[in-house]
Amino acid sequence: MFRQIVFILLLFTLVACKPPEDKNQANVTNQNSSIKARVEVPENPKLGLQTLSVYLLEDSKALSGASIEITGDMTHAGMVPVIAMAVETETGLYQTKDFEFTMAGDWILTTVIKTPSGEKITLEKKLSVAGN
Amino acid sequence: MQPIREQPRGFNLFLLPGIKQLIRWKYSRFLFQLPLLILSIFVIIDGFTGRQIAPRNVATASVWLHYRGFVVIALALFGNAFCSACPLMLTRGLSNWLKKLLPRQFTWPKALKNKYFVTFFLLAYFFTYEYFDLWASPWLTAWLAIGYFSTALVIDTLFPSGTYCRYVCPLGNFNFLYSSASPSQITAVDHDVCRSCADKPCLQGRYSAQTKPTKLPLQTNGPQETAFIPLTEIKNNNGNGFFPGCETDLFVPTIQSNMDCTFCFNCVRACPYDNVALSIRPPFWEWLKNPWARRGRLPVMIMGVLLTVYGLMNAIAMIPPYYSYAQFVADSLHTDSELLVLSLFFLGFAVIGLSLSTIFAVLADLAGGKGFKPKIAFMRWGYVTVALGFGFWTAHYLFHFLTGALSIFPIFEHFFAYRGFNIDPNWRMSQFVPSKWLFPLTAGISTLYAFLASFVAIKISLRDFKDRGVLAMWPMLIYILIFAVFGVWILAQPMEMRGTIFQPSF
Repeated sequence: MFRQIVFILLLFTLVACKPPEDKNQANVTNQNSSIKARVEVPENPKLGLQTLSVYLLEDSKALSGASIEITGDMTHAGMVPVIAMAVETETGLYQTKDFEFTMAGDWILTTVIKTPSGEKITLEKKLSVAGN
Repeated sequence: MQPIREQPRGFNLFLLPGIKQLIRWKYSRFLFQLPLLILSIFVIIDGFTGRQIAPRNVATASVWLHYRGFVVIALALFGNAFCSACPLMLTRGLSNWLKKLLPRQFTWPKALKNKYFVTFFLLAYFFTYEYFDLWASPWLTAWLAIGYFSTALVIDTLFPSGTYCRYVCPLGNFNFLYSSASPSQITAVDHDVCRSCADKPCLQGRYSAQTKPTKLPLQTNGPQETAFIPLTEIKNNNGNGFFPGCETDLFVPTIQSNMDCTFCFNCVRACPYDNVALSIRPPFWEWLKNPWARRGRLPVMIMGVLLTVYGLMNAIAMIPPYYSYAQFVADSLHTDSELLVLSLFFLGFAVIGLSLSTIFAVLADLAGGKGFKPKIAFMRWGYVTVALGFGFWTAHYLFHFLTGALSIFPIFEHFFAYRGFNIDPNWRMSQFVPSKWLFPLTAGISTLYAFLASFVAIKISLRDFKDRGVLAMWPMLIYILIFAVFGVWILAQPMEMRGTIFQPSF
């Protein structure tokens, strides 16, 4: 009987399973960090080449010299990701030149920022891309 | 029990070096199940605790991309390998233990002993897939895996073993249906051996040992004790103990179809005369023998036609015209309920698909001079639709597989990186073939099966209509042409991977 009760209790614990809060699910960095980052995409993004912008601040001052890679994934597993580097166009502003939305639909942008001091920050942004 | 029938006589794959010994080994199936069991554990862990981004999670990528791709490749090139390796059946130990706690063994209701119930289950599964965007949700995919394990456990605890595979499992029945396209099948090596076999161990199981025990286990498909066959009578002895027979009630020398065959190879292990073969056959062999007229009958054919229809819908739901038309339907009905619009689409596709396949089948029968008998015509020509359906599912699943097969490497790297390991996944690793190859490959596969369907239609018409066969085949050839053109048109459309008609998948 004891084993049956344990088994049923184990089944109940499964019911409690739900997805975790994603560590990266934010478009701006943690409030406690001295580094603030914001990813901007054009309003109503469309298929084709799009300029994505990343604003980077450290202690409220524009942060120069960071390395930024942006990866775009479709929500369906297996679609080829789009990966582009954002280059610094002015102090604290980094922009992509060759990021292309290759398909209409739901996208997830993952921005990985490596600061000159070696700190690594990951941001996530979800958006829908309209077809032509 | 059905009479012994003509079976394919191609090369016996068990004659390849080491294969027979491996398959007859008592624990061989566990060996096959182990990789998918390990994968299931990764699916559940990453689905619940991993990053909730479908392309970066083991749950969504392995289930909706790799598993489905490998399923159609295996079915097309070998057989029902994924039922053979199904880890759900590893719940059998626990279900056997739980059975002892039950006051009695229940019998699966007679009304459900057909493929109607599982066809409904399959459609519910496809509906759930679209409505809840399962492909975009790692945690729901993990729940789905748990749901499969739990259902298998509950069904096979309450009812006889094999009930889940035969009457409930949507994945298994997809595999059963499309293993009709496979180039291999279980057969008897020598039918005379089967004729003289009294105990039918391939069906009912056997117990073998040096001496007969006082109590024997029950037959796999019957109420009596299983046969005791002393070790001295076993050809190519493969061990002591109980060897179960076919849990889906297939008697080896009567098999003309892979329907309900899980490739568990119980029959191979149970046969005391080592008289079971895995024979190579042409992939159209089964469609020309009309085996579902004897086993499964109308419900199986309806399942076959509906699977073809939902194969089309599954792909159409990823292209822009679908969203435009869905929006048009929603606007016309003044609704923003996706439940309603999706239900109408499912219903509409089912009605149109079943109607068209029946209408063309009846036209073919009429052209051949058989008269107006829709059910008979539907059963006769349904295999043509099944062939078309398999071609289209294969093209669709391979599109995704070839687009992202290599992503399995960075996804597993990410599994560990997410948990603190110092690994930098290479996300550029994804495509198996260049993008420009995708349309020619998928359209080519779909077209290849359209040719195969044409061959089946021609052979059926010449078989059943003799001289009038040249007339009877034409409605079906036109039907195949329409399907093939429509299929290639779908494959040629740009994909649009939106979550739902009205809102994104996040």
